[in-house]
Amino acid sequence: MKLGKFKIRIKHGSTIGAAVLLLLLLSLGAFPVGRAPALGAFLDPAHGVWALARNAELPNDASDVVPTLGSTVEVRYDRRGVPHIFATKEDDAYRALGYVVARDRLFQLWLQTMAASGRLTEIAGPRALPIDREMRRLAIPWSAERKLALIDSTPETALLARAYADGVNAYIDHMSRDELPLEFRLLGMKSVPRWEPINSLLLFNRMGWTLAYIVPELDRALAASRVGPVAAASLFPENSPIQEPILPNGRRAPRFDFARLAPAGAADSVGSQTLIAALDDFAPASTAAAASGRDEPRIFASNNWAVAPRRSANGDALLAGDPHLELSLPSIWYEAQLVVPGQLDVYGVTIPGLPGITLGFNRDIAWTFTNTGADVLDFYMEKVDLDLHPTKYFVDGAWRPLEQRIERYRGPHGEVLAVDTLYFTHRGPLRQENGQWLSMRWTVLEPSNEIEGFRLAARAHDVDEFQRSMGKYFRSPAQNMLVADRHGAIALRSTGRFPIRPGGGSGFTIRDGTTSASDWRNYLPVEFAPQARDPDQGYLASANQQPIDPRMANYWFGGLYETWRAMRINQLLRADSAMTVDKMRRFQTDPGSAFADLYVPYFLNAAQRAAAHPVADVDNAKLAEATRLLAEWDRRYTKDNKRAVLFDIAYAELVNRTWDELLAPGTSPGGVARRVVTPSSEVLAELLADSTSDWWDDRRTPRRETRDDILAASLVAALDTARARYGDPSKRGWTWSRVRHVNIWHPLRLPSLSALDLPIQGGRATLNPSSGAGIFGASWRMVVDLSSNELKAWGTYPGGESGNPASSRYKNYLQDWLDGNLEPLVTPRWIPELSAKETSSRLTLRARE
Amino acid sequence: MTPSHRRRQSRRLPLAAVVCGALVALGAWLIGWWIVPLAALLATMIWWERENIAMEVMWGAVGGWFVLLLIDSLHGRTWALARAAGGVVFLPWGLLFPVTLLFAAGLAWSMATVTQLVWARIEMKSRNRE
Repeated sequence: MKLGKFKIRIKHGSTIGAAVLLLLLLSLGAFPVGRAPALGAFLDPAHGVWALARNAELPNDASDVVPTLGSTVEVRYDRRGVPHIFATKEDDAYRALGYVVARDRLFQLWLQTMAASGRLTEIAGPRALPIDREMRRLAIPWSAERKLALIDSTPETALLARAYADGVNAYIDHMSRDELPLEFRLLGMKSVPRWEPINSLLLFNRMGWTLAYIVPELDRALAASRVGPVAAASLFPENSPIQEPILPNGRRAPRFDFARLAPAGAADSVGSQTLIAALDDFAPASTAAAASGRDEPRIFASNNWAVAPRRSANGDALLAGDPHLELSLPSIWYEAQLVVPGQLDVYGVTIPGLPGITLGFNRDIAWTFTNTGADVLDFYMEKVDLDLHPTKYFVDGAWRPLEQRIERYRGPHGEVLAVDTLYFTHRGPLRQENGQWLSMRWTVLEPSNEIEGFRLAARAHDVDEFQRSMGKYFRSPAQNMLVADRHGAIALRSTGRFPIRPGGGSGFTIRDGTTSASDWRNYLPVEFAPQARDPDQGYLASANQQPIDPRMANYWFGGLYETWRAMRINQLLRADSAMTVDKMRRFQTDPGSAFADLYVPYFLNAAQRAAAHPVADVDNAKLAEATRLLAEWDRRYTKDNKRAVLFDIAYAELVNRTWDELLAPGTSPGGVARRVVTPSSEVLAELLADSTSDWWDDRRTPRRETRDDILAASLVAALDTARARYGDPSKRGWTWSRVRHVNIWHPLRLPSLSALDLPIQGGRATLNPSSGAGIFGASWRMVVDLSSNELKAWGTYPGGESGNPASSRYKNYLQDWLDGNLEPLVTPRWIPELSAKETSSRLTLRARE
Repeated sequence: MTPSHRRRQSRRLPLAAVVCGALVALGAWLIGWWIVPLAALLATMIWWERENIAMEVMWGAVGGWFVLLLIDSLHGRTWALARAAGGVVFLPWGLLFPVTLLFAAGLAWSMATVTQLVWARIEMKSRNRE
């Protein structure tokens, strides 16, 4: 082209290419493609994702306005990044707590609320509909609204919940666009919805769903559908076959209440199938998946123990706790200290969104929880007036009106994806399943005010005051609350609502809804709840085992229990009357296993007998080698252990070979074995004591197997599997650290924001349990020395305080957690006690500029 | 273009690149990533007669974003961010850095190339009319 005196050579080919590229880049810049965000705003170094690097670390000094503050609040972050809040009024301290939690965990706050309120479809579209329906049909939002109404009538709690919301909203209102968390950017969001006090109640309810949605009825019904109701009751007993209860029963060893399991009978196809169809839809998606072998079972286990001064080396009461939950990055917990001189001085961990310290200590007491696993949920068969659109239900010869609620599920653009009509009886939500109308009563949905319980507990001066506060206000999810004080008292009580059913009956049956005689009579008065204080044995421990020895109990306390960790911690505590903080720290990651201690001898003895009397199907040379290798195992799940893997696989083989009666119909002999349900390892241990039980016979084979046949075959199969997966037993492949990993996922399941494949000490049923996909574990570890002079504490959790993945505080605690180390927790009484050296950042919150 | 003309051009201050870079670095605080095509458009309209204007604008945009990335890096957490956020958009090993600069480069170059052609035609028509 010629233009005046210039000649410009323009290649048309490259210009067309440039035009195409321009259109492509403009499109990629402006619009999201698939799961990738719009690249322009994302990559922009001024305000895009890179801006998060500028905000990754806390500034040395910052200030902000929280309009509703009564007076200025000072916040000091220590070297671990933990905020210490110094206020002159209690509600101001909780305002500041809301602010600092939002500053570090804004996306987590929002996502948890969306999940609890059944609104994930607004983020993820129709694929989240089943999860949202579960939340709403279980009436989690309905119940939160009722609880909010109750809280509104309690001035102190209402003030506190509102104060917390004010703090969160002050941060949201004043946050610059550069501070918008990464996850919001990925979702294409430019602003964050404000926080409402009801969100805290939604989170409480969600915690109830996590810890107290226990449906033993379903397990029994599933078993009965294959082996009949009598055998099912035997496989899923009301009481644990191994008794090492929380309440000391005067014994110095566990008691094995082993009995013969009732033989498998004819499948109860009619009754059980109706029950299953009805209950299956009530069960959480994850539980249903686990029951059918499709997914990882949920393992919500926890440990806590305390020793009295006479059993500690320094004469102080010592307390330890480590709640086990599904791990996540950022963590479920957030560490903080709140100081209001003369009123409040509490340190511990809070669940982001909950206005209070959940587990922790003040200057006088320390407390920690484990889950009771109690069955606090029942079903009732109801009669309604109209099957299609019921308006009334029938009770005691009269029709009562049903409460109705319309639930709309919206998509990311506000479009309505689905509409449900929910019905409620006086018991709770009502649903039609398989032609039957079932209502549900669940303690989690009942009006309660746990926030007030936590508020008062944080101010308690001794064990009694703590127990009074929690006893009065804490209702669900019921917890084994362990508390110790500086005066040397230790106490543990299962606290929460436990239903008293008609006739003292169990929760295993679906009751007749047409009569009020089926209704719960009351709740167990707190003075009758399982509890112990300063026991003769000098210590208390709970690890999700059955709370009361059934020989001592006059009240049936059914639920889901696990005994192995309780056996191990009791063994350790009994053996040492000079306990120290460091020993308790080591116990939290103790590699020993009561489970292996019981099972391994059975394997070895069976192998010896099988060697003496060879079995046709078992390769004796392999059996000899497997036996030798297993005998070499010290029964410890240390990272460098090379034999734990053999036992782990052998146990899985044993389960598969033993419970063939529970295989789902249609499972072909060569196909993947899917059990409808799997009895507990305690029940399998019970069966081990009965060498000739019919349950040992593998019905898929022509001959009749005995216990030893199955054990020997399992061991040989385990050796084959281990060789195939990990190579030669003498090689590194068998090392436990290469086999057992913990995986801590980000809530959006993004690998680059997660911490994956981390080797860990611990295994099946150890005090630091890890199995399956490794997604569950100790979510917080704490040890407290309740010295009469000055209380001292240590703690850590898998993650860090910040939710910003660029921050050095995102997972700075992780290595200590993996190594089983605890950090000393800094607890200044007032600002000057936190030296400049120990201070990493300062924040001043004022009522006005 | 003669060799001497080419030499003369190469010695000339890359003014378009400097201006474009400054525009990008400053304008990003106001209008975000849209400043890149906008700055490329403006710079090319001004210096459309320069043969290598597209490349100059491209380097200017890259320079502008690079300066901004340097500012982001002052706090020392960009590498951690690159690995975390890069993984989210399927970019391993900190490739988010080069991809960010490539995005700016591609956007600026393509906008400049297209603009140069369009603007040259407009100019040609208006001069022909004159």
